[in-house]
Amino acid sequence: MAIITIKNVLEHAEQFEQMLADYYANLSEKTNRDGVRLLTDYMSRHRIHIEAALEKIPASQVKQILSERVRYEPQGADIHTIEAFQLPPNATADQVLDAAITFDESLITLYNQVLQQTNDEQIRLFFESLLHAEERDEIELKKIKAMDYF
Amino acid sequence: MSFILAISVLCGVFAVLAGVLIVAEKFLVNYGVCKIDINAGERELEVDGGQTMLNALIGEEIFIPSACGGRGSCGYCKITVLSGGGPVLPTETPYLTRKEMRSGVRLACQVKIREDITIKIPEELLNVKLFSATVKSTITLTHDMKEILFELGEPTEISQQPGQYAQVQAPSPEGPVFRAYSISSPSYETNTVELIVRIVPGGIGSTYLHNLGVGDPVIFTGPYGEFRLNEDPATEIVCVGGGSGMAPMKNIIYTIYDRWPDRTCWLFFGCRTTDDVFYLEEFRRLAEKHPNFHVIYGLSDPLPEGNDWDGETGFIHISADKYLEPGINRQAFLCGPPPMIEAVTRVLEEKGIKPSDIFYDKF
Repeated sequence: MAIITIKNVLEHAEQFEQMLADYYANLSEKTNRDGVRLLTDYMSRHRIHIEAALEKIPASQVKQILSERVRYEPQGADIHTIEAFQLPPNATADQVLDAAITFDESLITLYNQVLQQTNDEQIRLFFESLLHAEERDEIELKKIKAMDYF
Repeated sequence: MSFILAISVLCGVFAVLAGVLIVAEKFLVNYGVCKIDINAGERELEVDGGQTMLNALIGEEIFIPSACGGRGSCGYCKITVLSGGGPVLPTETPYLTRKEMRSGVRLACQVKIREDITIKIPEELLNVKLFSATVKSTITLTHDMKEILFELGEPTEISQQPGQYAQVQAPSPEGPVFRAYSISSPSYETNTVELIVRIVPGGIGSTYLHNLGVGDPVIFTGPYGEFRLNEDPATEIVCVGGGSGMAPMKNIIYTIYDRWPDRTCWLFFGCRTTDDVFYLEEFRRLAEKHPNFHVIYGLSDPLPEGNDWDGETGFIHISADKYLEPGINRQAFLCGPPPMIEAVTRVLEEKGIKPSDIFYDKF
């Protein structure tokens, strides 16, 4: 286990979010299903949680939070997580939603791991905010699935 | 070995201390009676301190929308706290914009009352009531949809507007929770409330409602929602629903044709297969009586060979694009999953409908 900064953790998560956005955009291009295209278009444009969470923190505190150190090595929420869901062009909307729910869960795990490694109040507040955003996303994906439109 | 034992003992001690603190706060800390001033003196409450704002308001029969039972996971119970209430908690920030946080918007379920508090809530929430009712009928609409009709007990009448919703109390392992459902009965039906509910596997609210039988008691609060139907009969109404998003449309359509028999209204409804189609024949009969009512259903899954479907195919925003002429004064109401709402909104804006005239169900 390494000692890394919060900035490193966020870079890891941000990289993962970017990979997800690319994944959805790529699937949107390749799919032969209009429903999957609508869905992936939507999801590729809604991955801005870290940016949004940072915006809610006073600028004076952001620098301090990013430089804090945690004893932690980011695992999961990476390319391997995405590679496990290489969906074919004829993938159904349900398959895409299942993959998206898994991706969200891997970020939830990542943020929970950081929360377990820190007692710093500011960092806790920040990561709890990210965690809730991902949990809310997961609920939205499950509701989209339940509406059975795509 | 002794190192691990020491850490375990230490963790155990901390866990016990945390437990003691929680119990102590609950039973020993007395915040006394606190005052809640609502809407600059319009209502003044005296409540026991230590509870959440949401529970305190419910105790005074002021019902703020909340779907998660106060666990901070739905983000519906927004109020504005003008003084008191402490800082915004991390459990709230995902549901609040920076602008909202600056102007004192909070989640009522996360605000603990420890002092006198001044709050502002939308005026219409002061008119929300708690209803007891019984199930009058249930009709199976499709393989997973039911229409459920409640006969009101106490109070005996409801005053609701098209597009508004009720929160039905459902039992759960963690105690009663409320789930939001749009009211599908027209606003002129004041002694009954009708809901259209799709069963969601594992869903607390839909499972409860689907298992109700005639004569079963139910409790709900309502009506909630800010949508107001444009009263100018020259303004066309466009309703677009997808999947299970039919309930508010039915209310709007019947209310319109009760008041303005000649008003122009478009209903676009999208679902996947013919197995998911419901109310089509009923709406076609209504359209025969009201020639300015246009009913368009669209199926998004490919049609099986030999199918005699005479409606549209493809997603419903494509049908809306095909039928709606641009440049006509319209108000639109949408109900469906967010990607559908986004696609339909784009089409409607291209047709010249102002964003302020496009309403949709909170998802």
